[in-house]
Amino acid sequence: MEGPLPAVWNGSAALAHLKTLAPEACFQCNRCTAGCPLLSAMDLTPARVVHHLLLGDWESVLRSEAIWACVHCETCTARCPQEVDISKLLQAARVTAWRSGKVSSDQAIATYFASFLENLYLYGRSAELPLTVICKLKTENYFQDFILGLRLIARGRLNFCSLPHGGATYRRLYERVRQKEAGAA
Amino acid sequence: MKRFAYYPGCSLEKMAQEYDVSFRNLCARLEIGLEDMRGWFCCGAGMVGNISPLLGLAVPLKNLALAHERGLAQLVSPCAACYNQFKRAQHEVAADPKLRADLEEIIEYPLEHSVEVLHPLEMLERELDNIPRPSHDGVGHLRVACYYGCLLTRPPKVVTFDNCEDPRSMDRLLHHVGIETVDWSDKTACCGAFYAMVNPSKVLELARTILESAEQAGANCFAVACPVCHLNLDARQPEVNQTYGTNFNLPVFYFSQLMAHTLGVESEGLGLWRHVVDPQPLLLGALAGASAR
Repeated sequence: MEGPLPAVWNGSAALAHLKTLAPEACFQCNRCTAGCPLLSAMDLTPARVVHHLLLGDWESVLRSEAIWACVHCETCTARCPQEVDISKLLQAARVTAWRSGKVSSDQAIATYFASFLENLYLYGRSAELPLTVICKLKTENYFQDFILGLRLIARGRLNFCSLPHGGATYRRLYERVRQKEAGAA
Repeated sequence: MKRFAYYPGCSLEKMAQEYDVSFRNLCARLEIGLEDMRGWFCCGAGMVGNISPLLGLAVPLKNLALAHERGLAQLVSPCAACYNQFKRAQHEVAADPKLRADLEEIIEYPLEHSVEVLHPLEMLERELDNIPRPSHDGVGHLRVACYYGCLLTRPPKVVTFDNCEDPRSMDRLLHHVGIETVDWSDKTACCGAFYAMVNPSKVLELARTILESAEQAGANCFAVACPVCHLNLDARQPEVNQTYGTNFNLPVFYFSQLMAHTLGVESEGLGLWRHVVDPQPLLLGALAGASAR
């Protein structure tokens, strides 16, 4: 069984159903961009991401900050008059970036995702403290939110450890999906 | 007694225990049966889909299968993120028979009878006629800004919850128990969610906008229905004040705490001590004001 982050999975099967996302319906009205709460953290606007994908230019998208700044608030998808699922396109770009090894190691949010998935793989449920510790060790950013952490601990709100509930169920699903994707390739 | 499978989700186990406790107490008062599911695990939280969209759907569907196995046709999911994951998975499977067949094989469970997934707000609105109106006037001081956030209402075609630009279900429930709410513009704005893990300053900026907007509309507290919204508005409020030189003191309640309070659940049963912005002066002060009259 592989580890929790399958960079070598075959991506084409995983992305097969994302072809239905129909970015070609986009007429660049920029309503997605206007409503995006994380716009100031993006180098490409959501509308430009769609435009690059329309041109078949995955490379610019995969290398962008924009795909990692999106927190899936779904405002763009909800407001698109052409019903393009922009949020899902960004997710597809992230999957592709993982699978093609294009995630740079200093991409902090990707490190957070990885920490989350490792935690899930081990325990089946998410426990805030181990997750935070794994993430801090990876990013070597020990003091950010230190006071917030103390406040939460004082109020009994950080989970110190998680019993491995359902970890085995998750790992079984993980393995079955991996086989399915490999078989469909 | 109505019976629902109860999927608390990881956040309600610890970080948002006050949501869990107050919701359980509320349901106990209303004689709504919540059945704990054995063996549930994380819904994927939108993270799993980042490495495999297929796995991102299999994880919530397997959890729903656990509820179905126990003979429960309806599941209550208080965390907006879990709720969104369930609804999304069901939506995608319904639209694509091939995908459904693949997922049935992966989760080793047939999907022909789907479990109805409800957020507590939806569930309680259906029960509105059975929710008693409180006899006391202890909540008359409250001016609540109902904050719905993102994942509860969006995307509308997937979650089919209320109105995605101007939801009112939480307002209606609070009105029913005699609590006043305010009209304001940021009820579905995004709090920045987990982006706080890498860039807290961006989240502080978003939280500030939300706090300011609610205060300008005349609110003296919030009601929320999502653990992440609560974290970013409550636990980060001192940091917002420090960063921007503001003076916000807006307690952030879960709607379940406010409703349970009107039905007579005591402070311990609401988990009020766990908040960063102490809500007790406002809430208990309101009670003292009522008894003085």
